[in-house]
Amino acid sequence: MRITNNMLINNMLSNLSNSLNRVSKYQNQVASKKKISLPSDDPIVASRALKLRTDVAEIEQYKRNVDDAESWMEITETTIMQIENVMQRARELTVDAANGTKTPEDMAKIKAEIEQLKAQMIQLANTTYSGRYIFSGFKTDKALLDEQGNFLIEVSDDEKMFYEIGIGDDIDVNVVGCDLFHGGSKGVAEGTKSRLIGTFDNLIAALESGNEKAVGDVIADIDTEIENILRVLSAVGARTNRLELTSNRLDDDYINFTKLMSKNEDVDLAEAIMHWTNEMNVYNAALAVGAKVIQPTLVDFLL
Amino acid sequence: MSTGFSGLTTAVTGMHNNQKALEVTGHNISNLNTKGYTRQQAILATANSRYIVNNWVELGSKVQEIRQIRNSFLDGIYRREANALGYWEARYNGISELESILGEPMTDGLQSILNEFWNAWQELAKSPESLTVRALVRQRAEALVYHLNHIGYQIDKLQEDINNEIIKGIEKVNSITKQIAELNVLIAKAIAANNNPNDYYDQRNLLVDQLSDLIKVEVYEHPDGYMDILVGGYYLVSKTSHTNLVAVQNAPLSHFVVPVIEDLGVEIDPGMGRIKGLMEARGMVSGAKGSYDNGTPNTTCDVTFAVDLSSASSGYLADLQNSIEKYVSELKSNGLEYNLRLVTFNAGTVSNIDFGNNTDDFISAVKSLNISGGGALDFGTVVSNVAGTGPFAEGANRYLVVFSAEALSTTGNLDDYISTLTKNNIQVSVIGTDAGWNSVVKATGGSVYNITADDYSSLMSKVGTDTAADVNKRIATVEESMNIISNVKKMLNAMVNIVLREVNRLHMSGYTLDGKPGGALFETIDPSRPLEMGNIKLSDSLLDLNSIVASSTDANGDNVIAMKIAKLRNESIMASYNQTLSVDSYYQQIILTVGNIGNESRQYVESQQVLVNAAENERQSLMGVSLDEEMGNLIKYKYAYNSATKIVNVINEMLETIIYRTGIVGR
Repeated sequence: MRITNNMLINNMLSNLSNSLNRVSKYQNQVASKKKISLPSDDPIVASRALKLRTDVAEIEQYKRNVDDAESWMEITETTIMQIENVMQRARELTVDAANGTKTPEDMAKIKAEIEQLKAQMIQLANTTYSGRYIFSGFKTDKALLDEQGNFLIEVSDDEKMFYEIGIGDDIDVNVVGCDLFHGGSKGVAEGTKSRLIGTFDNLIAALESGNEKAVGDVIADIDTEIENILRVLSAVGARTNRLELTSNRLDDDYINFTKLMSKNEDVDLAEAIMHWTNEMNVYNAALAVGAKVIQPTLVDFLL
Repeated sequence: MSTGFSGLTTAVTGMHNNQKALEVTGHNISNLNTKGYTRQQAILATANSRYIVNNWVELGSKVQEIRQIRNSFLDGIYRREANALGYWEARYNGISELESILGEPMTDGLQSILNEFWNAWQELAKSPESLTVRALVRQRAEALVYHLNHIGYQIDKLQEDINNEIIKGIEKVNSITKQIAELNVLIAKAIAANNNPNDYYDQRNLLVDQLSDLIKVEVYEHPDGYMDILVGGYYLVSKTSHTNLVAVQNAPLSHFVVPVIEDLGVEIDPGMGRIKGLMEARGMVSGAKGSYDNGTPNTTCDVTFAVDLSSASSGYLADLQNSIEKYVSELKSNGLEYNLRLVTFNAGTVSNIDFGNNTDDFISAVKSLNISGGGALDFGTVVSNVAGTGPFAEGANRYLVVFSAEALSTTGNLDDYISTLTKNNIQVSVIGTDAGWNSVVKATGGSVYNITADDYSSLMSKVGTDTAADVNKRIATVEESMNIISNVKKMLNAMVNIVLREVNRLHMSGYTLDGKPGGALFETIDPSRPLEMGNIKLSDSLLDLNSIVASSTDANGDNVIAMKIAKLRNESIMASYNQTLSVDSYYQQIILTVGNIGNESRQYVESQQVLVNAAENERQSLMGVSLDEEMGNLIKYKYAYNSATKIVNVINEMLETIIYRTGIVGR
C-alpha cells in the first residue's frame, strides 16, 4: 500500500482521539465513582440502577412509616396499660368494699375514689397524641367519650388506620374505641353508653346503695372488662412485635439494596485508576511516536 | 544518422517536458493539504518518431497527458460508508440529547421526583389532617408538574431544533447541487476545448463527498464530462440544470418537514444519510399539536351500545336501565373523552342515534327503551350500522357493547363481520350469554359479561372499568419503530397521562379536609388536549390545602384515599401489549429503550467511523500526495532537465567545433 502524508496524519489524529476518548471515559469514572453516566453507556446497568434507587427510596419511606407506626403503637400500648392499672385498682377497691367489713363512711370513701377512677378512665379514653385522639378511629379531631361515658361519635371497626410498611404489607396502628371501651363491639352509634364506663356506673350505684352483695356482683363485670383490655393489649403487643420484625427486615433490606446498588453502578476505583494510567500511557506513547513519524520527509535529508 | 539540429530539438523537448513535470510536482506539493485534491502525474512519452529518408528520426519526448490518479470505485465505497455514518451520527446525536434531557439514572430525573411524590402521599396517609404534610404534598405535586412540563418543553424544543437542522440540511443539498451543475458547465466547456479540467473534477468530487453525508445519491458521469446526481430516483442534477429540494410540512398544521422535489411536489426518500437520520430522530410523524403519532395520548373512546329489544331480553332491560349511569360515570371518573351512540335492534328495525358526549340524553334514551318484541336480528346489520357511522375524532378508540339475551345469529359469513370489526379497530363486548358470542368477542379482544348477573350495578361498573382499562392499554402500547423522540415521547406521555388520571380518579372519589367531595388534582392547561407533558397544571383549588383529598369519608383522620394514591406506584396500571406493569417498571422500560437505542447508535457510529476511515485510507493511498514521492520526482525531473541542458551544451560545442574549427576557407 502506498502511504501518503495525509494518511499518516489522519490515522494519527483518529487514533489519538480514540485514545483520548478512553482516557476521558476512565477519568469520568474516577471522578464520579460511577460506571456509567448515561443510559446508553450500559442500558442494563442504567435500568437496574433506576430500579434499585426506587427500591431504596421505598425502603427508606417504609422505615419512616414503621417508626411512626411504632410511636403510635407505643402511646396506644402505654395508654391501655394505664387503663388496665385503673381497672385493677378499681377491682382491688371493689373486692375490698365487698368483704363485708366496711362502714358506710368507708364505702363513701371508696365510692369517691371509684368516681375519680371513672373520670381518669374517661380522660384516658380521650388521650391525644400530637393533637389526635387515638381511640376515635378516623375522627381524630373529636373526643371519644363525654363526661358521662357516652360515645360522642359513631365509631366502627372500619376506621382502622393502616400504614404501609412494605409492598402490599399494611398494618393497622390504632385501636378503635368501640373495641376497647365497648367490650370488643364492631361499632357503636353516637350517644351509646360505653360498657366499660357503664360498669363503673353500676359499681358507683352499688356502692352508694351500700349493698355489699351488689358490689360483689360487679366484680365479675370488672373481670370481663379487664379480660377485654388484656385481649386488646395483647393484640397491640403482637402488632408491635410485627413492627419490630419488619423494622429489622427493612434494615437488612436497606443494607442489601444499597450494597446491590453500589455493586451495580459504582466503579472499582483501583481498577478505574489502573485503566486510566494505562490509557494515559498509551496516549503519551502515541503522541511521542506520532511526533516522530510525521516530522521527517525526504526534504529533511535532501538539502 | 541524425542531423545536428534535430538533436538540439530532442534535447529541448527533454528540457521542456521535464520542466512541465516539475511544475506538476510543484502543483502536487502545494496542494498537499488541499481537501479533496487528487494527485496529478505528468505522463511523459516519446514524441512520435518520424521516418525521413529511410531513417527513423527520434524527436525526443512529449507530455502525453496530465493524469489524475483517482479510482471512482473507491470513491463509491467511501461515499456509501460516509452516507451511513451521517445517518448514524444524526440518530446518535438525537438520542444523546434526549438522554441528557431525561437525566437518568445518575442525576435527579423523573424517577426521583416520582418517588418523592409517592412518598409525600405516604406521609399524608400517616397524618391526613396535618397542614404541614398537606403543604408537602402540594409542593411535591408542584415539583412533579413542573418537571413533567419542563421535560415536555425540552423534548418539543429538541424536535424543533432537529427539524431546523433538516431544513438546513435540505438547503445545503440545494447549494451543493447548484455548485455541481455550475461545475458541469465549466468541465464540459474545458473538455470541448480539449483541456484537462483536473482541478474542477476535484472540486466536484469533493462536493459529491459532502452530499453523500447528507443524503443517499446515485452518481452518473457522462463521457462528455457532465455528472448527473439522482436522489431516490429523481434527478437533482441533470447535466447543466439542477432541481431544488424544498422543505414542505408533512401534515396540515404541522411544522415538521419532509424533503420534496421542487415543482414536482413529490416527497423523496433520502435513503440513508444525515437528513434521514435527523428525520427518524425527530420522528417521521405529524408535528401538529395534539397529534397522536407525536405522543399525545389518545384518550378518546367511541362507545356504541347495541341493545336488543326482542322479547328474549325483556327480563334484563330494566336492570340495564337502572345501572347504565354506572357505566357512564366510570368513563367520566377515568377522565376519558367519550362519544356515546345507541343502536337498538329487534326484528326488522335498527335505530342509530349519536349522543356525542351528552351523557344525560344518552342515559334517558336508554331508560326510555321498551321491549318491542320480535325475534333476534342479524348481527351483520348491527355491524354495518356501527362501522358505517363516522367516528367522532380521528382515530378514536372504538367499542361496541352488545346487550342481548339471544344467541348470535347472522345470515352472512361471520368471519366477514369479524374482519370488518377488526379492520375498524372496534372492540366488541357482550352482555349476554355465551351462546355464539365468544368467537366475536375473542377475535376483537373484548369479553362476555353475564346478563343474568344479580348485582347489575357492579356489572356495569366492571364493563366501564374494562373499557377504560382497554383505552389505557391502547395508550401504553407503543409500537416499535425507527422513530426515536416521537416514540419515547409517546411512552412518556402514556405513563404521565395514565398516572395522573388515576391519581385524579382516586382524588375525586374522596373528601377534602373540610368534608367536601374532592376535585381533580391535575388539570390541563389547554383543555382541547389531554393530560400530557407540557399540558399539566395543578388545580387552582389546591391553593387551599384543605382541598387535598386524603379521606374516603368526611372524618379528618381517614387516610384511605391517601393510602390508595400512595400505593398506585406498585399497582399494575400500565399495560403494554399483554404485559401489565407498574408505573416504575414502565418508566424503567422507557429508560432501557432509550439506553438501547443510544447504545446501538453509538456502536454503529464507532464501527461506521472505522469503515469510513478505512475507505478514506484506501482512497488516499491512491490519490493522496506523498511528499517523499514528490521529492523523489523533483530530483528525478531536475536531473533529467539538467541532463537535457547538458545535451544542448554538448550539441552546442559540437556545432561550435563544426562551424568555427573546421575549414578555414572563409578566413
